[in-house]
Amino acid sequence: MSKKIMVVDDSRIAQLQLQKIISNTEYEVAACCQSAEEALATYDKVLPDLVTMDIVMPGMDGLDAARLLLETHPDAKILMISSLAYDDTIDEAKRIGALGFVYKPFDQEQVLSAMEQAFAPATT
Amino acid sequence: MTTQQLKELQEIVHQCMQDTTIRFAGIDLLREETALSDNVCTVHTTLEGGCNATLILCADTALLTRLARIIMCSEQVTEQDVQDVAIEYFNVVCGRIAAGLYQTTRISSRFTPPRFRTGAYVPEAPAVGSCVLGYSSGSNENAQLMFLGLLTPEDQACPA
Repeated sequence: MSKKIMVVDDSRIAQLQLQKIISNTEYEVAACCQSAEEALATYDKVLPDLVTMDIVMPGMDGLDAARLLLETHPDAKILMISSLAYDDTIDEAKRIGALGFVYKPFDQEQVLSAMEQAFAPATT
Repeated sequence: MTTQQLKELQEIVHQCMQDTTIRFAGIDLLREETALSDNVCTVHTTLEGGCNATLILCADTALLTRLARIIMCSEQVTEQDVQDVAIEYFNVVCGRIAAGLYQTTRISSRFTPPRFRTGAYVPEAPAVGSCVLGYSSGSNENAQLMFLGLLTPEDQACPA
């Protein structure tokens, strides 16, 4: 059974690129959300196995959305996918509890590798 | 902002622009003085947080259309495709610039979602902290990246 991915990105292009990368893999795109607010409203309906989260979006940014999502759903798996990738945002994503950070522009190997790591059992 | 800082800023912006364009679409933009055609589009955003500035990419529609064809893997692209690809491309460029600024200055900045418009949009450049970089694709397609009025926290504390 495919693992359900919820893509949160205001860019139709990023959504299309991720759908293409994920096609014919063990993952399937179960929902695409164009804003953080839409993602928070959609999560319970979809109950995805993994959320990919952009940072720069209209309205609430992806880091705040990830924080809110993990407060209400501590078991949620979130993978940040953004061009806004530097120590400050990467560290904040880790503090919040995101399971990885993929830099835009991404390629298939980077995305699938990060997804695989996100689903790997946690090591202490 | 000193002349040396502005020079460093230009190098950061140039590296981000060139690297991103190669990785995003495999197009190698050469930095050179260019004149845009009459058929251009603009994508722009505002850098906020530690540093404040306006970032503007004004490009020949032919260049943005070629970007869209590459990204969409199709010779047939719509105006909406061109607009969406231009916004995502500029989004990546700006993210890299914010990261480059952080690495150099340790100042954390964010930017607003880029906006697209047909035609040129060039606000009057402030007297300080501005630069314009010209690019050519080598296929008679040109672009200009403008970084207007960069203010660091130091500049804002000491406006004179």
